[in-house]
Amino acid sequence: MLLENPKTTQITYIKPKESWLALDLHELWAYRELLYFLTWRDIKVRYKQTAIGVMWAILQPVLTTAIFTALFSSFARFDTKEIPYPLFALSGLMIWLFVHTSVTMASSGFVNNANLVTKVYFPRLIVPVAATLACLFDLIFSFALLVILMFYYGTMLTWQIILAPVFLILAVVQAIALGILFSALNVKYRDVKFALPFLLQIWMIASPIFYPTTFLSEKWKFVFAFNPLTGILEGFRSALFGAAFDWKLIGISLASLLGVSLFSLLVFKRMEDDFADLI
Amino acid sequence: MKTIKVKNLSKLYHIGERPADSLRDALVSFGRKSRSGKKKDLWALSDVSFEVKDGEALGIIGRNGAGKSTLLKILSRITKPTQGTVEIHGRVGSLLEVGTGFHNELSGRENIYLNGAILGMKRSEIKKKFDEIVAFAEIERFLDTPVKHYSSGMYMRLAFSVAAHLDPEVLIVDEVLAVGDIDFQRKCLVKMREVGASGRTVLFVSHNLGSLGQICSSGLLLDKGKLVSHGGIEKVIGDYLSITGKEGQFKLDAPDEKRDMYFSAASMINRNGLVTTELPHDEDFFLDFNVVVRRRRRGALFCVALLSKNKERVFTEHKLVEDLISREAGEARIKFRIPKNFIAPNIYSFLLQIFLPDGELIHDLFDICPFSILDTGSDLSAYKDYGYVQIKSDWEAAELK
Repeated sequence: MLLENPKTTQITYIKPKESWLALDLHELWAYRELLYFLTWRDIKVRYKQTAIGVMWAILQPVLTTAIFTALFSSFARFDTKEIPYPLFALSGLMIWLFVHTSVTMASSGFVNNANLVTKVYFPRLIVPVAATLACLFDLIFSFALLVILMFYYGTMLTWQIILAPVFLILAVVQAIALGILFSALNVKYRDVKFALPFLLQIWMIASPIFYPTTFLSEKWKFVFAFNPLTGILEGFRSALFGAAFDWKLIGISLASLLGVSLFSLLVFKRMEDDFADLI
Repeated sequence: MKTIKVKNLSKLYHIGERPADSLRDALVSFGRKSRSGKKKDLWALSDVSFEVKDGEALGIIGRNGAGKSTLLKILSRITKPTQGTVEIHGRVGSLLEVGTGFHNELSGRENIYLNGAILGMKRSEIKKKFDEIVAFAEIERFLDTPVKHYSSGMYMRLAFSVAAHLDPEVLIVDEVLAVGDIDFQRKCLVKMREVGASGRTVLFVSHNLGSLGQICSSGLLLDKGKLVSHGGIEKVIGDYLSITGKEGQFKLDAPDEKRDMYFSAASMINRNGLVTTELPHDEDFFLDFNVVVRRRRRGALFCVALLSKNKERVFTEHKLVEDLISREAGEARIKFRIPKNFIAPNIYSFLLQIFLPDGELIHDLFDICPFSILDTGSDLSAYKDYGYVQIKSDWEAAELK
């Protein structure tokens, strides 16, 4: 057996803890195929040994939308202006369900892949990111559902629709940020398993998913804007339904998103070197 | 050319203390530097430096807890050193386990791609070697079956096969040969020898001194985290055996004035005369003991009994002292041979006695010279415990109907 590859000049240096601010994007890129395979595995395995399989990806948003519609457009009567309530609810829910599932999945990423972490080296960020990307698969289904519903209600599209993907990408950023934060915390503190469902529940209530922000007073709107999801949901709906963008609200949310992302990355970088010893 | 340079490598673990497993612990201990006396520091590696030349096959030897796994984990970048640096030239492939990342629900084909990617292979590379991997693992017919339906043998074969087709410049391997049935083990060993001879740099950890000797040209001996010996593989294996052997030795510090006859020393030696506590099952080995006779007692008998790990006797042998020693007084060295392929791989010790037929015990040593018999690839090596003796049995069958 002869060496098939020509000698590379690749040199690996191993040192004690380096500055935890350094994010090696070059290395992440070198491992992109592993990211692809782990994402692909998570998608493939997700609905294995379930009776209705991928139907779950459709059923979840449909059922929740139906329940919310029944509750909040007949009894509570939130004023969603010219947007039909089911459309309003589904557009919020698809983003929320995506963020919710991917943060939940990512948070247990290292614990579920413990043998990977203790036996092989790869940039650790790949695990929570792959878990989040795998959830995008479900998002495609709920997005298709939304498009069908928009046709049904005859929604008029404006130029603003081109901004819709931007807000979806921001939702992905949000999911990844919290995913990496909780995945890292979960390696050391298994409390995450118990605290996270509770935190997510509060977060859902504190986000304009089933109620519009017009429901809030100006002062509260400002406070709510610090929740990145508020701006993302507002922006996404404005893009879809051609309403005016509330740039001030969106701006605060984006700044907040940036802060949350940097904080998560910092915590992750700080903790990742010890993953193999702690898990 | 030096492929690997390791300088002053150390790794500290805090043991005894569970590092703030819950948030409450973290909050409670927040601001306090260390919690009262619970913390115990353990240097898993301390100040280890060595270099590996291009194309060298280096065997890493040491007892459990000597720091071998920690060293491999640092070299494979799984954990960071506390102090020191490492420089590695070339693409590194590390196999600390076979089948890492295998998913039960996925098919053999899917797992080949997944596992390959986890080990650091490019997709194009896996595609190119796919047929070879499948043929080596002998699983052609089950390629599209989820691996949860595989037998454990098939599973291990597939896992090793993917790993064996990794083609790095520096290969780090930990004890992966101890898998599968005897035929497959042989195949793996051949493959490993090929890798060793291909001019690639190989770091290899194994408890199997036999295969280390075959694959590696040089060796590195770790003991309690420190580098004890580094050099040719034969020399390092010898050093290892003498370290482990010393601990299993029995030696009387001062002459015994009360007894007429007594044992002054005892140890296990292998067929080359080296003192050791680890013996391969397919080689003769010896209990080597010294007897001091101060006043001869007529009719005295030696008793040598092998004790199992539960301290029950496996066998007992008697011998008249006068059959071995004719002098009236003095010291004698006696070698008691145990034939190869007789004692099954397990943990044992000895009972040594000098006694008189009327029952008087002159000297009694219970549970001395602990040693283990190692399986160096028998048909039974897949099992953990298979008793104390091996026999050549005959089976006869008559089919009834």
